Amino acid sequence: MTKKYKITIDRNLCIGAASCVALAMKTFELDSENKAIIIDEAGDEAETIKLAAESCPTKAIILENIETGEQEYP
Amino acid sequence: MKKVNFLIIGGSAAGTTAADAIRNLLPEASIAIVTDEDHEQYSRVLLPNYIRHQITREQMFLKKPEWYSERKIELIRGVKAVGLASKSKRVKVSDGNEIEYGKLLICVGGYVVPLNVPGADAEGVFYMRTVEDGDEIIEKSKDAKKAVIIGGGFVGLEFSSCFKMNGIEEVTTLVRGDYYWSKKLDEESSKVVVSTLSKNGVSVKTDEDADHIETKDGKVKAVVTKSGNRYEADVIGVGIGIKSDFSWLADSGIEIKAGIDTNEYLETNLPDVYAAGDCAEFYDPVFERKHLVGNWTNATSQGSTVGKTMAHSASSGQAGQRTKFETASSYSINFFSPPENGTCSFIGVTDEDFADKILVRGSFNEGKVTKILIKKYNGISRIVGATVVNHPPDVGPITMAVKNRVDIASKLLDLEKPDFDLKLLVA
Repeated sequence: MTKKYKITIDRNLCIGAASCVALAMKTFELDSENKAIIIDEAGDEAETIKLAAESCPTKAIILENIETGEQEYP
Repeated sequence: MKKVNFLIIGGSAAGTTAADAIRNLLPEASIAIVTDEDHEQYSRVLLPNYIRHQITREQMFLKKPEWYSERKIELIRGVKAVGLASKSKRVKVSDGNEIEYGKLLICVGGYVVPLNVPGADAEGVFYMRTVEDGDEIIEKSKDAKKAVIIGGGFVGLEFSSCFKMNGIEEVTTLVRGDYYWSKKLDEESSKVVVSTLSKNGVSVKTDEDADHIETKDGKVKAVVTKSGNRYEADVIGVGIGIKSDFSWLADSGIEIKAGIDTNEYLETNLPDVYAAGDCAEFYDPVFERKHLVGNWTNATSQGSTVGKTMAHSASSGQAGQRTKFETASSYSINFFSPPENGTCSFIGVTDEDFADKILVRGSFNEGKVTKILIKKYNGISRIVGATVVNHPPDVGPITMAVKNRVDIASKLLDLEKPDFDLKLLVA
């Protein structure tokens, strides 16, 4: 089974730098307040979503492995 | 001599992301990152938040030592690249060693342009680039009452809120132009930014060029400008630009213009040598021209792209793919706290000379201004970039319109109407 994440975005931390959108465009977009939101939790492959989360300069993206319930990032 | 499949010079956003992308594709390859800083990767974007005491020093770090060991990425810290011999595929580093590479990525970023006036080396003159800069600003601002900022721009804005939130009462910004941030913003947008600064107790003096720094016992005392004005200062924040150091590449044969010259795959003119991030001047297929971009989003996405291309080439096409870098990057800054806060975003290309037409939404009186740059490509009118001050809802749709090369000819008349929803551009 392919890996899936439950994605949470900490809106207080998000500054709208949009690196997540640049790396995983099918998963993230910016809303009207210039904060990242999730459009599809499985829009991109898990590896790409992980890379997008790791690229966030404010560590605002939290990834939880759906299967194990474990927080994988940060 | 050390030998690695992938050698990455630079350990920040582009380098770390590239290493990660390569590791995802090639589990067995040897990867080393050389960084002149003595740290694991940290977020320069969070540096001002650390200085403002909004996060701890530790929270600034994006990677722990374990990350490198788990990912089998060797981090060589506190060492600079000092020479490149591309024929023998070797990089000489500052501890005297040489490293042989299969593929080389140069992503050295930039260093701050130092203030070059008498007295600029005195205690109390700050830059804002590294963790150590942050430590120093916090420490030395403790007893300061007056601060002067030299330069208006992203760093100048960050200094404004950093000084204020460290309890400094009087903060004055000196800019050389006839209005604030005149190199990047139009006058109307600039007025909106200045009004936010002034509401937060930061004053701006235009047409002021530092002549020298007055010092006492090795510490700063005042900035004296060419016009003869004197601004007392216990601390001085300097933000006058970033430059890359290419001196170590002088005899390498690599082509350098404003940055290291690359094609849309971030490949340089030398075989097996790539460049990414703030130091790369890449061919940008979105705008059909060379482009040098210095921001976090650009650096991470270039790192991710070039990692795939490098892995593809190293594995004779077995892993990854040769990937074009094709992203309209944007960068935003939020300064001060609500309700008197400001935001400023730059999207795509923002030099006015590049555009055929410029449209403005909003005004100083409305407290928000969006400047949209439009250019014709083969008969199609496209948005190529924008500056957005205090109006975040415009950022998302404009970025999408730039990236997707949307033909906006039919919407030209609507764009300037304040109530026109920009989402309709990309609907």
